[in-house]
Amino acid sequence: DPQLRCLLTGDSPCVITPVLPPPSHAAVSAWIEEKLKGLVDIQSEKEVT
Amino acid sequence: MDAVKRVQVAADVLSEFLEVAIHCILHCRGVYPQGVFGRRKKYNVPVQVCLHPDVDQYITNVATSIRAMLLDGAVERVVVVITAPDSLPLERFVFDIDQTNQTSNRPGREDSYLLHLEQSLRALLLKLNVSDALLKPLPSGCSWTVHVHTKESAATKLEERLADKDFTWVEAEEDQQHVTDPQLIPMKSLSSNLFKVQLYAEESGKKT
Repeated sequence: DPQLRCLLTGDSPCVITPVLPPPSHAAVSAWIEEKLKGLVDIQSEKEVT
Repeated sequence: MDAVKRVQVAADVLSEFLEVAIHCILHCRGVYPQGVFGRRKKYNVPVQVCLHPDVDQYITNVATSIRAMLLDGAVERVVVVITAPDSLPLERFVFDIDQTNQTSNRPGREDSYLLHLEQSLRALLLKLNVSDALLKPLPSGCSWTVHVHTKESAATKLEERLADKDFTWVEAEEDQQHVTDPQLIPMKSLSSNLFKVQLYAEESGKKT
């Protein structure tokens, strides 16, 4: 029995989570926009040359 | 396969699977824009993987931490929690893990090449892929986190074990561990010589 084992060994169950949150939806959306902007710039340069 | 090797293989396979599963959940539930995901192949099926480098690294760090705890057989449950913009938990994807079923090889059931296990993991992923049909839509602006149900000793040892001291763990807040008015959605179970996994989702009845 896991709970009994915990009581006997003094090792309690716990729930842990990362301290840092993951990247936000806004940060990811901004990254996509930057990538797209970069692709558009490359395409524009190609058209000019 | 001896016992030590069995534990290592189980930890490697499980942590790798959970890494893919987290990507899959984030894609299926629309936590990030669809355009940031790319198609890859895993367990012989196409899977969607987030290409944003920081998200990818974050998920890798989570999986690395979980692997370290799995090596001690100290993971009871891994939960991917989707939270509303106000941090209220809306959905929980729960992976109940049982590593005690590491039986010695029995004739006719060895699965030496882990083919049966791969098939089972594939089925779990496919079930995750259709989870949006089982759940109500999420509001925009949601975020996510991961909860690992383990022992205090494993959590302490994790800090000492991890090379990346920038990725640390802390005890989760009690109110973040439950959804309000939960609706339980059973999804899939897996049973193998290395471990058992039961996957289910909890959805908040207060989701608008």
